[in-house]
Amino acid sequence: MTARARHSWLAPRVVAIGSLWIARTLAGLLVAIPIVVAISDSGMTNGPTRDAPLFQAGALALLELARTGSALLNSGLKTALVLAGSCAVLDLIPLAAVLDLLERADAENLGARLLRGVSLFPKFLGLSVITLLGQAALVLAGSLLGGALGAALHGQDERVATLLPIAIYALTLLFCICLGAVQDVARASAVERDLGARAALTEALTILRVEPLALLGGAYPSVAGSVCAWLASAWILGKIALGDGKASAIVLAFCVHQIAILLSVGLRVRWLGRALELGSRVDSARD
Amino acid sequence: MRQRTSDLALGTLFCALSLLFAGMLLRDADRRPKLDPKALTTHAELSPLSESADQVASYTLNAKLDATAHRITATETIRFVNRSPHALGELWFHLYLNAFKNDKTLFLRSPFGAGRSGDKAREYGYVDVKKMLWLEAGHKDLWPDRDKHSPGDPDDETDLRVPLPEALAAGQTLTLELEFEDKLPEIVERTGFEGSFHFLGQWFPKLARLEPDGQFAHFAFHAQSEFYADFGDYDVTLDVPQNYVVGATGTRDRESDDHGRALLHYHAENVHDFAWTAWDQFRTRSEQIAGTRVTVLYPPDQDANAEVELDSVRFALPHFNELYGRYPYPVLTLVHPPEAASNAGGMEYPTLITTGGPWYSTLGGGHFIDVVTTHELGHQWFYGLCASNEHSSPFLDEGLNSYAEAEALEARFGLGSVFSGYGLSVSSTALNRVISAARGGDEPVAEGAADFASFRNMGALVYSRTASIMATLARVYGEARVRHALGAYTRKFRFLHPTANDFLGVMNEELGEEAETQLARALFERGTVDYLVRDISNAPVIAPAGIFDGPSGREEKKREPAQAPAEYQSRVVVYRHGSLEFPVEIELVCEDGSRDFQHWDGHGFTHNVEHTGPSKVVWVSVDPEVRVVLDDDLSNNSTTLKGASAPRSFERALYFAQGLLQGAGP
Repeated sequence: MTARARHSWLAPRVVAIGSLWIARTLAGLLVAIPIVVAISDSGMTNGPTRDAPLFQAGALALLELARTGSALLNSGLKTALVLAGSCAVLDLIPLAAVLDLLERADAENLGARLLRGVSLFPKFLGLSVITLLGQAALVLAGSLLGGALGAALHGQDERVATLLPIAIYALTLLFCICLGAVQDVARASAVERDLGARAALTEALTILRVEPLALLGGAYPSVAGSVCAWLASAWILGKIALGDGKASAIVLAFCVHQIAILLSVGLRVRWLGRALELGSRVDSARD
Repeated sequence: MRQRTSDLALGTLFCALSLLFAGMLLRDADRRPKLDPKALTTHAELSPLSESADQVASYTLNAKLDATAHRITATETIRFVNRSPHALGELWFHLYLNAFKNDKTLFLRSPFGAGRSGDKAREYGYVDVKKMLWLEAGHKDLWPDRDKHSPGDPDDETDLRVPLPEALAAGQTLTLELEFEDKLPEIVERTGFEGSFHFLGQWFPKLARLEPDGQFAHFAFHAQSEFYADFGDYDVTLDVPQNYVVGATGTRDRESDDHGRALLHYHAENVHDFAWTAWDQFRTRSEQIAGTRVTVLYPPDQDANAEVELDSVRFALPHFNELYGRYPYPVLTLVHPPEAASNAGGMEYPTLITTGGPWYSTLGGGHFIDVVTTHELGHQWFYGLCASNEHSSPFLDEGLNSYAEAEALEARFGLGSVFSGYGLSVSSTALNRVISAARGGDEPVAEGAADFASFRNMGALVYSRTASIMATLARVYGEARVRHALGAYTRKFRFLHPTANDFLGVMNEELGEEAETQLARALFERGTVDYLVRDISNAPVIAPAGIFDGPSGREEKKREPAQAPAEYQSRVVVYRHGSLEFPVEIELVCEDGSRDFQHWDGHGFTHNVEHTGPSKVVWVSVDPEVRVVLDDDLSNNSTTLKGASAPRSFERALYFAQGLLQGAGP
């Protein structure tokens, strides 16, 4: 690969990663604000070290916040959840724009790109609804099976009685992730060939049938990488003393967290690129 | 193909790294402080300790377990000495197993949602006494003349009066021979069976404690209540199927086989109860700790829990020995019931304690097994040796022991004594405080167990609030002084039956009258306290203006032209709500970062704090180190002119929101 070719391959991905990260961060800010306002209004951050006591060892202040600020926190959390749901829906627009960018890396201004994202929004919404219904059915089946197994194994070997339902729940989660990967391929097909939601889903299921390993294996690094980033940041954060009142600790925590988010977003963009390629490959094979 | 391979390789690499980080997170969470080997030796006592109790009620029991029918047939001999100065015309017996006889008993008709066990009996149980012969009175059977039910409660048979045909004089000994049969309930609360697991607590007819005034301290078995009995010696022979593993109070000093049955003889001196367990699945571990043979009985596949339990005893036994006086018995047995019989867990008997928890309890940073083991071990002092009335003064055993447990856990694990991992640690003191603050003013702490409105109230007040009261005394008056005071109490009332007043008396001697006054208010009078701060005001210090009559005549001073003031006079008002009065520190932080600490003795309802300096006071915190753990509301302990902000919370909330949208969003 020449330097020019690498640049032409890399540039849209960098823009895509940046765009998705900005979209996530803006949405994250919106979701975080009601919770932070609830914490600030609780009275527990009125001291000279602001909210440092909430992060101190022993959790004296944190538990008190949970007790005395529970009404505020409940209301903040409810608002945050509503906002998160709304943001998750609206985030379909930047996602569509990013897929469009990866598919057509021509020089186009941001406005036009976003407009295309808006035009794809109904199809993406339709796909999300179908996928969510499928995932809900899977979760319901998994819960029923796990619950029934748990009840049937009561009084038997304690480890088996605990681990078997957990294995069922884990398997359910895995199936849900697979369904999510199929949805991404359907989204890619919708962008690539301007298909409607149902046609795009049919196309994605065809790809799953023809190239199951390529589809599921393609999404594998994105999912595993996100989990890895999350665990790594959790481990590193455990070493940072946020409760000691130093501003540097906040900066460090912010950097660690944002690197984790960027890695996760980067891997997702990589997978979305793969999803677009999968459609083309199956088309070629079909031809 | 190449892409597929690279995807699989990258994904697998991330999976491996995820496992690595998850492992490191778990390892960090499960890291346990190493024990100092020197700590395993028992420290010499500074003053001689009482080595035995007055023998009042001693028991010889022969019990045969039918492990299939879950029945016990037994004989019992009671040797009772009337150590009161009064002649006795009656005896009072506790037949606790009758609490599970039917749904109308006091125990089972109690509101169970809030009870210790949470479950009603599914299979009922009872104790049937066949005869009760008074040997010194010509083998007269006293049982037919007993009252048929507990006083004032025709549905309950757990507290029965047995009239004596002739008075038992002061100092006189009485010997009773009984035959009885137990039908065990499915485990309701500590006692009963689950499959082939059997736990026998409060399983035999037992005399109520005779108080010095010649009255028996008797009570029907209430779901919120525990027990109270006289000291004595126990000789117990247990007849069980040969493949059963047995754990019991005292030392096993003889055993023999008899046609597929094992006959096990146990002897215990200076104790006030006898409990035992038998199960064909138990695994055992045993080791010598601080001069005591410690044995753990646990379910298969729970080796990790057994190790943690032993580790807890390795720390806590020498620790308690040093603080509260040497553990006087040669043995200690820990019983970890199977998860299906978890209601048998978390209970104390002389030389035998039950722990509990599922097999994964030791994973993930929680110290549940350490908490329950340390707590139940602490009961060997606060119940076992200082045998207070658990029915009328539960705070003396559960409350003081909750403080002892928290103190020991924090000495061992620091501020992560309840949970430590993933950047979060929770201390016992914090947990007790938050539970206690929620119900602090509901009822007096020093109430009888059955008097509490609910078990939740009793739990919050007796366990958590007493621990928080003691933690407040320790933080305000000195941790070493409170530790010493509690040690003085356990030593003074070793092998005795202390009352609430005995406890207060020792606290008065050790901590002084003011501390004892606060303690009594907190325990008996629903005493609460809430320090709060409002109203910071800052005014520039300027030369006074006006007309002044001085020795040199009337003088008029003009207001100086406005300029940047050199100093500010700052004023803050701190308030104390509630009846408890503890001294506190008040921290003032100025705009330029300088700090000033001022002391308030806590008397009065308000306290004016004044500060003069080159910078305005912008932050004020009362009791910034939270010495007054009992403070009802910590959210009003600080105020600021700067406006509240929460940068750390903002950073964390942003990350979680981003992560949520990344994981669950499109």
